[in-house]
Amino acid sequence: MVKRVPDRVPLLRAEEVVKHFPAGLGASVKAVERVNFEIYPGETVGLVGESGCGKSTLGRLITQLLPVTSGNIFFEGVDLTKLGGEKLRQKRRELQMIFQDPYSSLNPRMTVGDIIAEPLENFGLLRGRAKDKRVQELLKIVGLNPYFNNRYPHEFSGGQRQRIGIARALALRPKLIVADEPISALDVSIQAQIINLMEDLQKEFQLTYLFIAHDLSVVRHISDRVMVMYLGKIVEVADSAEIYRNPRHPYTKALLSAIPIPDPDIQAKRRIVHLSGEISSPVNPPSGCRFHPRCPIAQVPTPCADLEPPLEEKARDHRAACHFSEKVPVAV
Amino acid sequence: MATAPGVATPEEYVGDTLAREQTSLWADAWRRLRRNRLALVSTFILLLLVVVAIVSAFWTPFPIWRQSVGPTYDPPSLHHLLGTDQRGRDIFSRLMVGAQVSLQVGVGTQIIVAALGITVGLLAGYFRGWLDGIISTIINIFYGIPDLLVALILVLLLGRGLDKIIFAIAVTRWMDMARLVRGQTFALREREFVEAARASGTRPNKILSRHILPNALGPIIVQATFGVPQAILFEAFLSFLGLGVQPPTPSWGAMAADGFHALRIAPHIVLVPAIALSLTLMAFNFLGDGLRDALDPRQKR
Repeated sequence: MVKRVPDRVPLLRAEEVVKHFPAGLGASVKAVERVNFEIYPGETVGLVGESGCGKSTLGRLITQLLPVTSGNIFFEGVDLTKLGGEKLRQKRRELQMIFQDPYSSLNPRMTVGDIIAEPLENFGLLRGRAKDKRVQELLKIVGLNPYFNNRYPHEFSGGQRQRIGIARALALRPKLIVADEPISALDVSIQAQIINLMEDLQKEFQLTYLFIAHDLSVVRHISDRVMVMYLGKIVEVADSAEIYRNPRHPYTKALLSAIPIPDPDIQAKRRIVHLSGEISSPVNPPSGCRFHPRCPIAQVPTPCADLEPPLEEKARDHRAACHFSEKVPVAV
Repeated sequence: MATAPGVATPEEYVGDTLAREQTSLWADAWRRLRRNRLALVSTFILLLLVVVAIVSAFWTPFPIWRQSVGPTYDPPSLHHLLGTDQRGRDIFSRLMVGAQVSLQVGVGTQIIVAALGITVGLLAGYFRGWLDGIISTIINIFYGIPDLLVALILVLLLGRGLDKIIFAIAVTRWMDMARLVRGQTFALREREFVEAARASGTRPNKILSRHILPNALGPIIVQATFGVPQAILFEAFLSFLGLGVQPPTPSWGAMAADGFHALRIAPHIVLVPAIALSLTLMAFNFLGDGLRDALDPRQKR
């Protein structure tokens, strides 16, 4: 199922990316803290973490909807953080986004046709009949009736709206699509349809995805590689199959054990790792390893509470940031 | 891995059944407005007022400027439906033309207020930063100066033409609209569809005109509707003080002032324009309430 990435020139490379939001009185929310990763052409990278871990912020930094506090984001070798105005606007053609909430991501005052045509108009790509034809073609590609182009978003269901959002993202034939929890607002029955559609589109248009989600079960299906994020840091990166078989970070382990298995016998025998406490505050993150207050295997104070574990290679193409990664129990 | 169905063929569009009937958001609002009886009655009164104002431009029972068309201080009669004033002018005729003045002041002011307030509010709300700082400071300064003082000075400087009065009132009234639009823009710019527009390379001018303004239009319309009676009342007040439109053009405020000294012997001279003014103000306010409920159904619950 895993397609090996043939060429090793990354499409996107993030270097030491930091995003702090001012939180008043000199404090700041440290949403993303010195993050490094690559995305290779044609692959799907899953980005997983619980609410508030900074994964959506990271997605918006990559698409430059938010400016970075520091660090660099190279897209095909060009540093997006150094671009501004028109140069950045031109780059946006290659870098599109699918949003989480299909109800708020479509302008309620615009017809579906106008919504999908807007990216084309922004770059003066097509006009008149040719534009209308392209819009109808895009509707067809995402499985919607092309003659609904003059309808308004509120006439559609959540799943249909998400397809409209996908059509808009495809309009410019981008190379990379950042999908920010594209299915978490949808009914379970619809989720699989959207995932399948995204997979089909990836094959057809050679797309690269950064797929953001808050649980691993969704990401397992679609991703080639998975990145796990906790409190602004990436704590583990590995091939999808590898990370499920052999998690090297206790947080990943906990996320995995939270996936229900549809077999009551196995489910009863599993050891579910319950994390104690809430996610710590990103205004004042814990010292050392950010996960140590909730970690079942942490040794406090040394090293976990005073030494930040680096994200290092634990096995081939498998990096984790944990002092005791060999103690993480194997998956059930 | 589950085998995915291929990209849909025309026979299997998922979108062939729509979740809801095809209704535009405006049609929906109109449906809600129609169910509000007070707003409907108000709309009717205001339409009548508009008709009267238009008719008065071409025809009135008596010429409004001519004095002694009847006896002075004459109470309402069949000949002079609403009586005559201290100079023997027909009050009904003057009331009709007064409607014209009030509507022009009310609507004219709000057109200027909307143009200025929307522009300023959109810019401050969208670009934030130093631009917002400057604009917000100007707004606060204007709030700080008494509006009557500003209007009086402008009327004294510019003169008492209708257009000058409209301008003077607008100058004291644009801040509410600017603040409203700024707040709306602040909220809307964080919505995902605005992010989506930015992500697909939409330029700021188009984001403002296509994404933010249309979605702020509901509250803007409501604000403008409430602004009309305020402006009308302000003009009436200026006229009552003798600083409104140039006589003999009849303004309801000036008409009330004319009859003020004769309140005991001929109360109708004051009452007629006062009642007309009150009815108009009430109608605009009820319509504003109705529009607010119709355009923003969430607020009603």
